[in-house]
Amino acid sequence: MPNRNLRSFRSIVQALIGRIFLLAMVLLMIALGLQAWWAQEQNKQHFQELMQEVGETNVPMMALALWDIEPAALRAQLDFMAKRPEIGYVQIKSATGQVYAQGDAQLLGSQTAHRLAIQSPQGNLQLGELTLVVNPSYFWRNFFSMAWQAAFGYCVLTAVICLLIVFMLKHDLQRPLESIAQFASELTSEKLTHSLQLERRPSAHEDEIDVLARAFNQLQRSLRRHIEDLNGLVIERTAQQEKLMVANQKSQVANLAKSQFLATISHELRTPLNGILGMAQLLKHAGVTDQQRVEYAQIILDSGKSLETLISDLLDISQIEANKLVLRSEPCDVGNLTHDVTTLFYQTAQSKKLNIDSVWQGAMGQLFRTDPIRLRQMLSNLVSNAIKFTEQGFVRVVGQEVERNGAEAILEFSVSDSGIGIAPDKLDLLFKRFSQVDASHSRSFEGTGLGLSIIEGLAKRMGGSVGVESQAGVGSRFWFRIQVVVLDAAGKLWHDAAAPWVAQVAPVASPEHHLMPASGGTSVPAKSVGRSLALVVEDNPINQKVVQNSLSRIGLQSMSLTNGLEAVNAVTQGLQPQVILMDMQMPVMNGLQATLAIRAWEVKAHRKRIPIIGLTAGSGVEIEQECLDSGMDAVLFKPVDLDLLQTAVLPYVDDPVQA
Amino acid sequence: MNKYWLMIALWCPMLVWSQRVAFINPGKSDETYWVTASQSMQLAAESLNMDLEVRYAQREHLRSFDIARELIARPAASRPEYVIFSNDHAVSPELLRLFEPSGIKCFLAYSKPTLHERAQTGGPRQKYKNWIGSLEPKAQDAGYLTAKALIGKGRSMKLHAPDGRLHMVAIAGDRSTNSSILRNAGMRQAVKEAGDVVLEQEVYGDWTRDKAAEQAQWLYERYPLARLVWAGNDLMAFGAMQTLEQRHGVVGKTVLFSGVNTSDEALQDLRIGRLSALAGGHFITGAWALVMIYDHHHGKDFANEGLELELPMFALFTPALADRFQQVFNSKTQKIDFRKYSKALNPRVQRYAFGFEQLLK
Repeated sequence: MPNRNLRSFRSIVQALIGRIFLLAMVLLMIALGLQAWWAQEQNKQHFQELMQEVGETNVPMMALALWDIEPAALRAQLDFMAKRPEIGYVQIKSATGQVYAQGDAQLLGSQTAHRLAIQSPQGNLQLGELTLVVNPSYFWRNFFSMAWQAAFGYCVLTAVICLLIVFMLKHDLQRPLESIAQFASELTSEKLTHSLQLERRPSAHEDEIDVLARAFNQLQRSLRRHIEDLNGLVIERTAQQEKLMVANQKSQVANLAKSQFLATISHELRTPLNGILGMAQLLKHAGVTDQQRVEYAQIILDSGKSLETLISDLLDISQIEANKLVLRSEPCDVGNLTHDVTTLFYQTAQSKKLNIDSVWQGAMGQLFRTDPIRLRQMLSNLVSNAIKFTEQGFVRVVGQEVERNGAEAILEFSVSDSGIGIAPDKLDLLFKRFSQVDASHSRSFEGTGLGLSIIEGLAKRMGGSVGVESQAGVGSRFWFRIQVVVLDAAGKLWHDAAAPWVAQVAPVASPEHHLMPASGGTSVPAKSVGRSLALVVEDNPINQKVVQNSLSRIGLQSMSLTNGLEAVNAVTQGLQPQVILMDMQMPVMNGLQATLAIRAWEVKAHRKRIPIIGLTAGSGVEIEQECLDSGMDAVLFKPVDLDLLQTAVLPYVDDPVQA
Repeated sequence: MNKYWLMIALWCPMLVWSQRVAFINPGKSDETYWVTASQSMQLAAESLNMDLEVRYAQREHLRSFDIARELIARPAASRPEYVIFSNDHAVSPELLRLFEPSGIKCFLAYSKPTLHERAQTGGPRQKYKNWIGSLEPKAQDAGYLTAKALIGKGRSMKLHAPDGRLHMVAIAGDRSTNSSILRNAGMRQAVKEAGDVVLEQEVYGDWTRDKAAEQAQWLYERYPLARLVWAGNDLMAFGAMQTLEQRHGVVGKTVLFSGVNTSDEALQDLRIGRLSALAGGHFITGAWALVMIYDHHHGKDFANEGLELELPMFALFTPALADRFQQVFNSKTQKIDFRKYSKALNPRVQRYAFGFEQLLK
């Protein structure tokens, strides 16, 4: 309803009705006045006509009676006329002076007196005069009767018209307007769900009320949309804000962790670097004995391997975080693998006087399709950690198949120790990246703290999970589970079903199996390859030197170029090396572009295909595949193990040049 | 011998049995004319040895029908054999219709059905077999005689208007009865024959004194030159005289009057000159009717002379004749012999001679 607090409310419809009533009353009064005047005139005319008619009707008879001198007949006619209610007075005055009259003689002077001459039947003599006077009481009674009927009729008609107008205004205007006003007054944000519905008869035409209602409905819908948008925006902004807050908090935590981690990494990097740089400087000095040289070289070698491990871990974490980790899918004797890993750490454990053993609680020689390298990495990490955090007692590695579903199986590997254990409130931190249980600068144990995080990422990628049970001062048990495909002894699918994660793994190019270091790091015996020419395309002079020195060890002569364009030019200008060692990232033209250009030129010039072995500082299956796709024959990952380099080059050198 | 016996046999009934006759008098029982008429009929009945019963309708025509029904309802022994009535107020068609089944024979005296009424009644002895005939005085004689005498008197008194003519007004009786119509016709005939008379207007005074007096008032105003007033009867003449005198006129001098009837007042006014002309005697019609009924009853049917007789009966009275009339009719001793007018009693009479003056001789 309208707000009546600001100003006194007065309905427009009621105002209209009031005005219509007022106008109707005024018009009614005017109409009644006119009607009264008209009735009066009509009445006058009617009575004049009546008097004339009565006179004219009676005059001939009166003329006869007058002519024949029949007073009785005259009186009878007077009596007859006087009986008419319209006549108040009637008089016959003969020409000879006789007067006969009936009625109220006082009316004779009235203006309504109607006089008619009475002629003799022959028409030549006026016999007398008939005077008729209207009966005033009857006249006014007749007038008031007419006026009353007219007034009553007008009043009834006016009332009916007014009532009809009132009804129509109320029905067609006031109710819809009130509904619209009510609707408009309730257009609050809480009441925007119902549209305005007017109770009106359906019509083929639209009027102002419909237009107004439609406009309000559009307004209501617009408001509702607007408010919904605002609500959505608020919710979205709130969520975003919350996300931002969480992200901010996480970011702060992560930044803190990263800062701490960077400090750790920096320390971890600087430690082996310090060893390498220090030992290298000592080697430069004259007078170094062979024993010192070997010792220093060993320190440099160990420090380099520590650096490599650290960089590998960082790459793994990076790939896991980027969800770009690609797993292998190969048949694997996990019992054997468990035993190998344990064996690998046997020396280390013995040095701390720890008992270390492994148990495979499944069939010996059982093959499973999985990524043996990652599985080895995970187990090695856990065993390494266990030895690291155990001062006395034991370290036990247990592998078992915990669940099988057709061709699929869940394998669980656990490493138990009798180490320092972990406080329950610190367990949640164990698998978080860039965090360590003890992140202080004065922590007791070295390490980046990436191992468990890598294990968790790998386990999840392999369809499994990780966990730990630990008691401070008693020991810990770390475990992880992976999903594998069960194979028979021949390495075939034990069942037709393939592991879901296996399908995601891209097939690995066969040369890799030869080029990648075999488990156990079997070294390739040095072999003289004669005077064959190898082309080393490498922009870094140190790397050039390392590679050329390594090639020279197997009697392979080499020349070096600093970018791909130089290599392409050399080949197309007639250089015929037996093998090309091509770095990936180089100025002017990178290794991939150069390989493509050489392969294209070979095809075009119908030349013999020159073997190209890629050298990349990157890692991962994608880079390896990219190199192979460009036309390379094999890929080696930096830092290149010299043995692996020689193994990779030898197959392409059939006429080595003697060094 | 046989012849004489036969004559005796024929005469005896006439001598022994008297006919029962009823007269439905249309006038009032105190109205001079009609009383005189009844008296004269009574004289005739006595003379003819007839049993006459007179019933007055008192000028109310409906009463005539009541009287007729009463007569018809009587036992045959007391029922009249003949009934005489006048056509005053046009009662004859209904009365003839009423009497026809009763066997009472009807005779119309004084006035008979008008031509218009004849369509209903037909003629005597036609549609109504018991209607044996009618007798009327030659009514125009009354008008003619009085008008002619009045004009003569006016001439002699030189009452001519400046135009050299005598201006006359007439107050007639009524518009419907034959006697009135005929009297007026006689009057107009006399005026026509005179040539120097202007009949200004005829009005109808309904035989009454008062109405005539009132009409005279208008007439004197309307026709100031009129010096002659003809009246259909004596009463109307008296009324006109009365009005004249109220207007300070002199009756018989400034204005002359004539009348019809033989009332004592009229006869007296005639003698003193207030009435300049007076005719009368037609009251005797009823008496003559009895003579005809007597003859009809006694086998002397008047049919050979006519079933509807209209005979001169009026006499223009002079003062001498007035005296004689009063002498004859006012005398208790002097009888009038009506037998001498009967054809049955006087085989020599071939035609009825009903003149009034003869009766007074």
